[in-house]
Amino acid sequence: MNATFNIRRFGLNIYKELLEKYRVILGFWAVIALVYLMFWGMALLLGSNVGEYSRGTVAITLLQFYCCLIPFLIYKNENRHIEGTFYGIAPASTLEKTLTVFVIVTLLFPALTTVLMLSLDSLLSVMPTESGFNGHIWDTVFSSDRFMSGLENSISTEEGRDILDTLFFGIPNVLFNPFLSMILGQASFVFFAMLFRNHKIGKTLLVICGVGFLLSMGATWSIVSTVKHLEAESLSSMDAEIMARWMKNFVKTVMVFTCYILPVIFWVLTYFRIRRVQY
Amino acid sequence: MDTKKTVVKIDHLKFNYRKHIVFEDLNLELEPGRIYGLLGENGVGKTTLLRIICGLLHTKSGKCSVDGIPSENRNPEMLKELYYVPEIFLAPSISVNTFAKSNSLLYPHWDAAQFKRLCQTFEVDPSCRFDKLSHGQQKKALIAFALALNTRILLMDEPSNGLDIPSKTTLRKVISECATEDKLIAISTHQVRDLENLIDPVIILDRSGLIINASIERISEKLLFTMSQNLDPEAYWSESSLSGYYQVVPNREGMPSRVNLEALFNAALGNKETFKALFR
Repeated sequence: MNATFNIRRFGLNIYKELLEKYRVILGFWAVIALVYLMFWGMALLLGSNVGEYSRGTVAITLLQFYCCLIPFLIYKNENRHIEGTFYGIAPASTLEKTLTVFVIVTLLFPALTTVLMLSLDSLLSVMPTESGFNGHIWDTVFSSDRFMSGLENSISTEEGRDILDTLFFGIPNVLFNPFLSMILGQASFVFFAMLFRNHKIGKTLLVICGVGFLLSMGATWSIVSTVKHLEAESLSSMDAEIMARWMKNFVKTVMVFTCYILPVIFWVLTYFRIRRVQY
Repeated sequence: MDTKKTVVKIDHLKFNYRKHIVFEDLNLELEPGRIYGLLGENGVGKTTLLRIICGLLHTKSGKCSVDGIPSENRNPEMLKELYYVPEIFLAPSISVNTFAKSNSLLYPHWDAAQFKRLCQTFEVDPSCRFDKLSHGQQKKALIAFALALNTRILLMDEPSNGLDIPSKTTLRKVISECATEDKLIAISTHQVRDLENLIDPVIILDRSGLIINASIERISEKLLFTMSQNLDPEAYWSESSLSGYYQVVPNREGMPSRVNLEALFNAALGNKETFKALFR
C-alpha cells in the first residue's frame, strides 16, 4: 500500500475523524441556529422587516466567523502532548491527515453550515408575521459584488469612488466572492490551530494584530514617503498615469497573493506542522 | 518466515529535552515473540523510549527503526502494526464503543468480538462514555482496545497504574493470552511486582543507558536469589527480615532460583557497572 496516499485509507480517516468529532460539530450547529433565531427574534421585537440584502450580509459575516472558529474547536487537541497521542499514532500519512482537515474544515463544514443557515432563514422568512424577515437570501448571499458595494458605500465623494474603480478594475470578480474569501482565509486559522498548543485563539489574534500593525505601519510609511516625493517634484500628467497603473498592478498583485498564494503557503505549512509535531 | 527477526532496532540513540539529557548512546534490539519489561527509576526515559519507538518523539541523533522503517517518519504501514497505550491520556467524550469503532478503522487485524470479550473480562461497559468512566476503568477499556487491535507491536506504559488488585491479575492473564510468536509486547513499569511472571526479557534503564537487557533464564544463570541466615559479603543487594537475609548473590554454582524482579532492580541500581559487565 502506498505510504504517502491511499484513497481507501484517506476515506477511512475522514470517517474516523467525523465519528470522533460529530458531537462538537452538532453542538456548534445548535449554537449557530440559536444565534440566528435570536437575530430573527430581535427583528420581531423591534417590529422591523429585515430585507434579504441585510440578512445576506449578516449570514455571510456569521458564516465567515464560524468557519474561522471551527478549526480551533475541532482540532484543539491534535498537537498537544498528552491529548494528541492517539492522533499522532493513527496509521494515516501526513498528507492524508492534512487533506482530512481540509475536507472537514474547508469543504464539509462550510457547505453544510451554509445549507443549515440558508434553510433556517428560508423557514423564518415564510413565517406569517408582520415583521421579521422578508424575501429569500439564496441569491444575494452568493453574489460577488458585496465587498465592492460595501466599500463604495463607505466612500462619500465621487472622486473617491473613481479611484476605487480604477484600483479594483480588472481584478477577477471571483476574488471578491465571500465564500471563496472565507475558504481561503480559513487556511491561516487552520495553520495556527495546528501550530499553537495552548491559548490557540488568543495567540492567533495576537499574531493577526501584530501582522496587521506591521503591515499598516509599512503602508503608512510608504504612502508618506511617496507624498513627500510628490511634493518635492511637480507631478506631470504622465507621472500620474504611471502612478495609477503602478497602484493598479500593486493592488492586483496583493489580491492574487492574498487569495491564491498565501492560502497554499498556509496549507503547506500545516502539512509540515502535522509531519514534524512531537508529542 | 523468520519470526525472531529484529523488529525494533535502536542505534546510538541520543535524546534530550533541552538541557536534560535522557539518552546519550542507547543501543537496543527488540525481537518478536517476547514480552519485554522496561524497568527503571522515575525520569530515566522509559516513556520517552516508548514514544520514540512509535514515532511520537524524534531522535536528536542516532536511529530508531521499526521493521526497517525510521519510526520518526510515522509511516502508516509501520503504524498499522503498532499501538501505544500511554500512561496518561485524555479520554474522549464519546462512548467506548464509538472510540473503538472509529480508532480501529485503520488497523487491519482488529477483532470486534475479542474487544467485547476483553471488556467483559475487565468488567467494563463499552456503551458508557469514555470520559465518564473512572481512571481505572478508562485504562482497562484502552488496554482491551489495544489488545483487540492485534498489532504485531504493542507498547504499554505503566499499564497496571490505577488498576485494582483483581484487575492487575486479569491484566497479566489477558496479556499472556494475547502474546503470540509474532508479537512483540513492551511494557514499561516501575511497579515490578505487578508484572512478575509475565515479562521476559527484562530491560533495566538508567541515566547512563542500559544496565541489563537479558532473559529471565540468563539472569537466573548469573544471579542467585536466596534467603539465608548469614549475609554473603559478595551480595549485590540484601534485605533483612525476621527469617534472615534475602539476597542477590553471584550464582557461583549454577543453582536454580526464581528471579525476583524487585530484588534484581535494586541490585542493578546499586551495582550498575558490575551488572553492565555481567550482562554484556
